[in-house]
Amino acid sequence: MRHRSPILSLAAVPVVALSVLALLGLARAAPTAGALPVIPAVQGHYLMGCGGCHGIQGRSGREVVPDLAGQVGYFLCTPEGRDYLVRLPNVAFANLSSEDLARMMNFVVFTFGGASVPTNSRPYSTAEIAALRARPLRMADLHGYRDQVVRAVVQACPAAAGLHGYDVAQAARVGP
Amino acid sequence: MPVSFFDTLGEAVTRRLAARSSRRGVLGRMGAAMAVAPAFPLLPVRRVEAAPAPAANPIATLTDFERRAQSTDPTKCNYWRHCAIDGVLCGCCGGGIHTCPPGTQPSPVSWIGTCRNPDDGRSYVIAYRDCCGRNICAAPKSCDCNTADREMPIYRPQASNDIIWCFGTASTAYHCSTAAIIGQAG
Repeated sequence: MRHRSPILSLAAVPVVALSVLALLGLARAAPTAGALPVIPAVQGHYLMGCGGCHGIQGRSGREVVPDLAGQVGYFLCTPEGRDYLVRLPNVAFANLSSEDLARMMNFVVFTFGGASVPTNSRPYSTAEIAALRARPLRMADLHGYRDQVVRAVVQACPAAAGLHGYDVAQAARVGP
Repeated sequence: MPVSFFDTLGEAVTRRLAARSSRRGVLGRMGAAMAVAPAFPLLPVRRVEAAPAPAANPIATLTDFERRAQSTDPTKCNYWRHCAIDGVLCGCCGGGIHTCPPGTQPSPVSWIGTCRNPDDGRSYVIAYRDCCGRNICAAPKSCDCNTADREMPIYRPQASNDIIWCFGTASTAYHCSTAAIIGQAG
């Protein structure tokens, strides 16, 4: 007659060893992934192409780079303003298909723009994006053109006056 | 010869079981199955199911950097988050992988890329931010890195690490670079 089953005591070894490891905190730590947000593709495109300067949440300290959060939607107050956002060289030349760029612009304008988007604004369509990026802004004085667009936007939507903050700061950097 | 702890434990457990239960042969076989099972790798089908959902980078397409990347020492150029960093690591200069050393301030602008974590095979979005306001950090040569996964030339400035990103800070002097995680690429 066998007095004990070696197999059973073998089975106890891993269990005991694992509990000892866990107690000592030697068990492999959970990967960092758990707590981190998963970034959807459209937001990923924004981060890779724009977020470094415009800020992860669209806030950039507005004087160095224009804030998008709470103000980018104002550009939809005028047709020229709506076109301007897409004709900006870094948008028009983005390394994205027009379909992806349309999704990204709608994310930027409607999500970051929030309350600044005029009521009844329609989202950008792929066809509209494709047409606009075919005629990117070409003027040397981009700041001057922006200033002109912003003036018209503020006239149409007085609440957009904050957009001038960037233009004023830019003028101060360049000097009179 | 002294009796080992495991032997004593095993004997106590076995004797208690033996004294209280019938069909001891079944228990023995179940024990054997439990002990032996982990020694066999699972079938491939099961392993595919268990794999982390959509891995952004299949092994076949790994870059040279990704094949050599490690996840233990953030003060080395081959630490996985440094897949596209050009400059001195702030971790070698009194700062950290996402903190600036005393006396410097983070640039409000940065460039953003993705790196693959070898621990879980997923891609993460990383913001490369420069710390500015003091002369370049005098760190050992091993802290001065220049890697370029998915980096672009300066004609795509938002994806270039050849630019000193110290704009909008009190001083434009470059000191070192950080690599903070923003999130997991979807």
